Amino acid sequence: MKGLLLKELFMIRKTWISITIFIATFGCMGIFGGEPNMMLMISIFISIWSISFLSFDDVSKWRQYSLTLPYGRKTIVSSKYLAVLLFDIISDVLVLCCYMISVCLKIIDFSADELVLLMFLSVVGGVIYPVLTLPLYYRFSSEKARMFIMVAGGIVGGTSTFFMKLPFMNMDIIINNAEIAMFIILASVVIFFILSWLLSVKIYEKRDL
Amino acid sequence: MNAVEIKNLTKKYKDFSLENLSLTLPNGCIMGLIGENGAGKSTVIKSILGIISPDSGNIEIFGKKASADIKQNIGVVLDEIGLPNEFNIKEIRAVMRNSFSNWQDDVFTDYIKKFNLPEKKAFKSFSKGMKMKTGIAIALSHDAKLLILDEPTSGLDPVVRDEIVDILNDFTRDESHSILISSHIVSDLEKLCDYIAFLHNGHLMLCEEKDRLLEQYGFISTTPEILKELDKSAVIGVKSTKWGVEAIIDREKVPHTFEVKPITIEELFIFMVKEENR
Repeated sequence: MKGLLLKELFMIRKTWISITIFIATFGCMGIFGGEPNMMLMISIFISIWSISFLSFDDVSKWRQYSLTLPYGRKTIVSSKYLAVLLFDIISDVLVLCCYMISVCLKIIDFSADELVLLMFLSVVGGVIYPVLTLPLYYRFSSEKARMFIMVAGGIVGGTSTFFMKLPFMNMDIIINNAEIAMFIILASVVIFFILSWLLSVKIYEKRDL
Repeated sequence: MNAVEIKNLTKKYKDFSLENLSLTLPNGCIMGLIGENGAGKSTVIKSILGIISPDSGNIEIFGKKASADIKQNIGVVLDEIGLPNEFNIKEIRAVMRNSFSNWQDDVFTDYIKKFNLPEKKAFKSFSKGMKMKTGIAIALSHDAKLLILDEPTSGLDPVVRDEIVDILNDFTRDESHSILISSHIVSDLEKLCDYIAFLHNGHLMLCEEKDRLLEQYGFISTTPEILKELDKSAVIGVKSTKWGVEAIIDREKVPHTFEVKPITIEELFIFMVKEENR
């Protein structure tokens, strides 16, 4: 699996200029604007960025070629999920660094609650998109998967507004029980991550390339 | 032990099907899969490598099902080398070094030098020949016992094709090395192979030792009247010309009075396919 992970790292290294510009832009906006929310864009962007390499794999026919290397299909899928986790950790460290720089420069006041919430959102935000996209990618081409995810995003966005207006969706209850809410969300993300991985393995093992 | 053994392989698509194909590549031999475009050569190779799943049948490589461990001993070159376009040779080397347990860096370096491949240029800037050479360098740099090559010479100029054939000939100097190679450029395979398999419309027309085929079959030029007098089973394929007919015949089944000329594998294949299409 080491070779596959190395390939993912090389892919991200190839686009380091764009990534650096993006991280620097949103990092600076977060640090100097005193807006930790802006820092979260780093996590979300890196996760989307890492998945965008899938379309490069389609173009170069890496998917077929990787099956000629000494890897099983399960290993190939697992390496992608491991890369997602790796990039999530990297982006979490970057978000943490931005927050601490902002505190050191006395642009924002240190708040343990705010930092915990920020790191929580960074961890979750860094895996949501890949968790939803990867099974679709392994079922269809990257182009089709992207189209599906856009449609799904629209549906989720539209229905969430509807659900938030339901009487039992009281935001005060969620805010007053933030720790429980965070635990539930984090546990859900972990479960979805594992389910997404298992589904991708199952889909990819049956797929003709 | 056989390098590759395929039994009753069947794969059906909407507009094409590979029917009940059985094929054995003995260890230490080179087999050429010959067939026109769409005959099923790539389907066979992809099935062996597990890129596609057969509908039925059994495939074994060195007596085992294809697995990650077995693939350590196989060098593969597909008609399109699917390496990431942005990578250079250094990065390709790093990925392969960490993929193959028996990767030989010095051998890879030698091939890169021999092929004059630039180490720092992106793979996407390589010509088709350079890409193919990169694929061959990878396939030959991890002590593979079996090479599986799908159209490795298609789209290449004759000089590069000849170089590739020479390299493959070198590989088979070790008697434990085997090659399964597909191509529609029959002349390349004729130079290289011990065994020849003809594929046409998804079925195996014949699979035989090359020398035996060249001994068994011959070429005659005669008149249609004389040809009609021959045993029908002796005639493999016929072509009408301005001056009469040309035919591929089974030497054992025609009278010795006939002047039988030697044939090439390419002629045999073309005549057989045309006969089949009639």
